[in-house]
Amino acid sequence: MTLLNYVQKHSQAESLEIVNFEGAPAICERLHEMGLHKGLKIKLLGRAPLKGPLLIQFGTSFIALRAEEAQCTLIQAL
Amino acid sequence: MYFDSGSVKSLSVALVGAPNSGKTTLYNWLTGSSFKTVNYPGATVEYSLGRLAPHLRAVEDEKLLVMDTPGTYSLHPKSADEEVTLKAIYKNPELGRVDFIVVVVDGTQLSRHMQLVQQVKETGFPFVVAFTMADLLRKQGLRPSLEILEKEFDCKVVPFEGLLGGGLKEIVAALRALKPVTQVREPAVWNFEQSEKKIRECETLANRVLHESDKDARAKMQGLVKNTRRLDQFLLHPVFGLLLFFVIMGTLFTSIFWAAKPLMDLVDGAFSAAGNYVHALDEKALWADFAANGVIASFGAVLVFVPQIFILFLGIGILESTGYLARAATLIDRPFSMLGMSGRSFVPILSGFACAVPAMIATRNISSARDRWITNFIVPLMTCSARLPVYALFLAFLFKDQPAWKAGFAMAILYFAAAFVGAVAAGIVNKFLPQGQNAFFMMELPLYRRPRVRVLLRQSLTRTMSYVKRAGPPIFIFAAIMWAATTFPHYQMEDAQQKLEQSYAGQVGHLIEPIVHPMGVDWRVGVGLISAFAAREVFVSSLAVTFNITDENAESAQASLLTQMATAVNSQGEKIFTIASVTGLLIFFMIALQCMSTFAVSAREMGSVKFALTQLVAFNIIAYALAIGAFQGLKALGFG
Repeated sequence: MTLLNYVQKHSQAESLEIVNFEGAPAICERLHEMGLHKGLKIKLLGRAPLKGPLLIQFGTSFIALRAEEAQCTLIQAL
Repeated sequence: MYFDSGSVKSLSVALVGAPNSGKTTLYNWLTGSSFKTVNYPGATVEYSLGRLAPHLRAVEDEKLLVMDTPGTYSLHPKSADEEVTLKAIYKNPELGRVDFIVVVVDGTQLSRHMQLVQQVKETGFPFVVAFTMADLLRKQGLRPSLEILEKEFDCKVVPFEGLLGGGLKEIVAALRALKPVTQVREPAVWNFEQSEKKIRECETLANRVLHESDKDARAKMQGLVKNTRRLDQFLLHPVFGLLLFFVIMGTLFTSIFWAAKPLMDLVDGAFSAAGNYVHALDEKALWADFAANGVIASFGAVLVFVPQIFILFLGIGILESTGYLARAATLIDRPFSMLGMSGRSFVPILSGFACAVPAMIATRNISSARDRWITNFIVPLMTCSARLPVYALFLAFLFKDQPAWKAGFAMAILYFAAAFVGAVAAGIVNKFLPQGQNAFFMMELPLYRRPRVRVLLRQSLTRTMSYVKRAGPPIFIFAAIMWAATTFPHYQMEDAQQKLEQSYAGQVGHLIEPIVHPMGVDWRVGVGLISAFAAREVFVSSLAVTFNITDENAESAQASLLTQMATAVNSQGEKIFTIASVTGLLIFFMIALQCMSTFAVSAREMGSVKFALTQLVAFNIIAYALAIGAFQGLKALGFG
């Protein structure tokens, strides 16, 4: 499931794993540059008001992703 | 050593690193106070260039040039900022290709930032890695094994502490040990699989660096994020977060006015006094008039806003360096994205309430060209401080002898109305502008940290100077032209009012009277509207001249002007300033793009005169039409 689908059902999660990326190549490339990759374990901290960007944490990094960016990120709950 | 024997050949080094990696702090330490900001020709982003600070030089004439570049995550650019970083390294207009690179890596974000080190290594540039935030790691009791990195990348890795500049000399020594190469490669583009592999390599390597000599490293690293997570629970909370956002931004916004006021009064007072002094040297002489009312007054017009701009930059700098600004952009992203912009448009829009010039410069870190286009387009609609004196005069007229809160309330409405008009304009443009590419938001939220006062002050000062250099010349030139237009041809005439009426500006005012007539005003206001193109606030002083106000004291001058306005009639004997016409004028000033420096900066920032002309024509025509509509409507309702 995409990270976006996940956040629509659960507002927070302590442990998710990225399984793949799909969609616009530029977005996927930038997700890589931001340090996201397959197998990475992330925490979903919440979402900005009005269905704004999603907030994720992995290691010491905090990243905000827009819906369309979260849509490119496929995850599974651990 | 390359600099031995007093070599005078100058070598250059570029600092490259992700946003918030501590690059600019290192740059400030390396260059001391000797640097300049360079605008990359053909593009719109600046980089800074400076010489190695004297105390760091091995010999007095050691010529090592240091360049700070806009933050980038990779050498495959995806925004205007990143494009400039790449060009500044490979095809620098001043340096050609740079000789060395310092890759600035945030020690707390090691695994992510190491991708850039890998890319730089692939290009073949001789490089050194500056490992920043070393002090933060040490505080957590972490001792990273940097020798692993050195071995992996075959380069020197130097820990650097931003607070005290620890590691500075070692970085310079490492640079001196580098030898320039004759050839470098273009950065290779990694495909998806390659890039996955590289990130994993970085992660493994980062783990080794941090964990090799410390089994508890993971727990200690978590200590780093504890405060950030705790603070974010409030600052990014859907309800409290938004409330705090409005409180923080409200404080910044109001401080632009109250904190700057005493300084602005000081600048204003000093220039008025200097002008009066010079004019008094020889009241009849043209040179004294030019020096006082042409040169000094126009310098004053430029410099009076400097305190506000400085406070704005300082405030934004504080929010930026503490890590809050990225959160603010995240909070506001959704509403802005509905209007075709993004959270990154927030700072430019906010800055637009002080002055459109720095606001347009601030749009450079918007990665999407489309978002940037829309943001730049609506920035001039925000209520900049040059509109304030005009609003103050008109509101004083409309609410004369009424409780002060009414005028204050009306002022607030004007601000909200401007923001509303901006939103509508953005919404309309968003509908018609073709969809662009690379419209991603994706933002790193840095760990919260305490800002460094010295760096902050210096950075704000540099940005302010950059504003003065950019906005100064157009305002000055236009103000000088306006002086000539209002002084000649009858410069010897005693009666100031007659002199103005028969001056070139007065003649043009008469010529355009048919145009301003539908707004309910006559040639005198027309002259004021033309002179407002020098700077909006000039409208007030120009009105004072056309209505023959001669009071030296500013407060009594405003009182006299208000009295004159209340009784002024046009050639048909009708009152000029009525509720209807003044409301029309307020609407005109709210929307019209009269500022020539905004026009110049807009054309330069967007690299398109057509863009700036579109803004100029569209906003002025809409302002004019709405002003006429408001006047005629209110007049029909009996407010004329």
